[in-house]
Amino acid sequence: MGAIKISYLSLFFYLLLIALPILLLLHLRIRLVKSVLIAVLRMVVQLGFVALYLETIFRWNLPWVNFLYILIMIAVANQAILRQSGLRFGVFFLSTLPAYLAAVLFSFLTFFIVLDVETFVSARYIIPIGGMILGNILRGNIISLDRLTHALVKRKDEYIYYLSLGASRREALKPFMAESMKAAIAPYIATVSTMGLVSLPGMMTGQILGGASPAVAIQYQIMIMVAIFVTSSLSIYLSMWFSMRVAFDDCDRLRPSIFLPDGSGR
Amino acid sequence: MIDVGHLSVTKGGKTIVSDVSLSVREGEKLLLRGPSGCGKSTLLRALLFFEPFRGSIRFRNETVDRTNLAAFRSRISFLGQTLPQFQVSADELLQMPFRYRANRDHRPDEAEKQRLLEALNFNGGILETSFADLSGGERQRLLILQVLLLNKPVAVFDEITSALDRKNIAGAVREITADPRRTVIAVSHQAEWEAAADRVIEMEEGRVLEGTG
Repeated sequence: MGAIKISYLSLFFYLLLIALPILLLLHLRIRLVKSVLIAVLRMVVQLGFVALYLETIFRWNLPWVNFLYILIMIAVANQAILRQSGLRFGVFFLSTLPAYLAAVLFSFLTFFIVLDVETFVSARYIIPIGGMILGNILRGNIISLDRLTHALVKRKDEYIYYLSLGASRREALKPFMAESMKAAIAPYIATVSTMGLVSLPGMMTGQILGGASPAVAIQYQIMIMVAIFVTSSLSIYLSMWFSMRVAFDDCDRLRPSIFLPDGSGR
Repeated sequence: MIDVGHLSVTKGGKTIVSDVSLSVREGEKLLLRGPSGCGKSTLLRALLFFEPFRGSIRFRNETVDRTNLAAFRSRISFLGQTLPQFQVSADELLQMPFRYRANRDHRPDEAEKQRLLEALNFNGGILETSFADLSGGERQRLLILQVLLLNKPVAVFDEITSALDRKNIAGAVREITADPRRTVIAVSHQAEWEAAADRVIEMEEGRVLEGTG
């Protein structure tokens, strides 16, 4: 049994429900109506395109195309993480890319414990699972890189203190990285521990709607949550180390040019 | 021992330290003085390459650059005027630098630690107290103790006794300057430092005043 199809007309009428929050915004004179309309329009157009090219990729079902697609997703995720962390793309892109590649590749290899190779590399598995993992590692990596670079600017004296007591750059960075990692991992722990109580995740809901039994959906959900947690932790750790290799000059001074000119005073 | 040649620091188009040249002898106790904002702290940070600068620094007749910077820094302890915040106990903080690779050959001397605790006027329970719970003066004295335990050939201090009372300033300055082999470069306006210094250098608007360098 598959998911029951929704007609385009019904979907159109459902979209009209957006008028309700818009009316609330108008009533409270909050100038967000334009932003809401643009966001909804973008969502519809973006998802429309996704449907079109995923239909094609699923039809082709070529492993190299699937991997190429995953590579593009990793590159886009890397770019989004750097932008949201206020860091320059040109400085970091090539140094953080291997961190995400390594973390995702490791996570894919772990799937072979539970799925056979042929099933996993098929477009219907690898692309949604890859997308779900990448979508979920964004938040943690943004928090960690933002926290780390921000702390190094705000608490420059502490960093200098470690160096001036004989710490190498690596040793001096360790307390800052531990703090950033802790802050970045905390939301994942909360999500994992409240899973099923506070939220029924999208993948599980989708599988149940698609006709899978709740028991099977839960098995997949446990697998994906472990994959997200492992990939997030690994990517956060690696991206912090890899990014720090290019963030300093030869004298262990944080280079001011690593930050985007965002007016935050950093 | 340390020769600074034509050192200048510019930040955001503004010259903070301008063409400073000075030499510090082995074992010398050198005091830097000058009005607030005249570039003393920036000069000290530049000395350890924590600030980008133009000019040169020589250590024991060898020019310091990125190839030997780590070795140079490993012979110097530096305490800036802004003290970091830590959530660890005073004793854990004292042990921390001895875990760094560069200091692995040093072991904190327990007898010396006890002697310094007494000399710096600490009471018995201080080591178990969290650094965050110490007063400003206690924090300064604890970090001085840490530097003295590390016992590097050069110690650089920036207003490190500013939160101490007269008695504790005298005790701290006495301990810092007691070893004739230790080279000390300090920024302070306190009379105790002046009395203990072999030489006083005056700075104004980023420059060393004539006749004091």
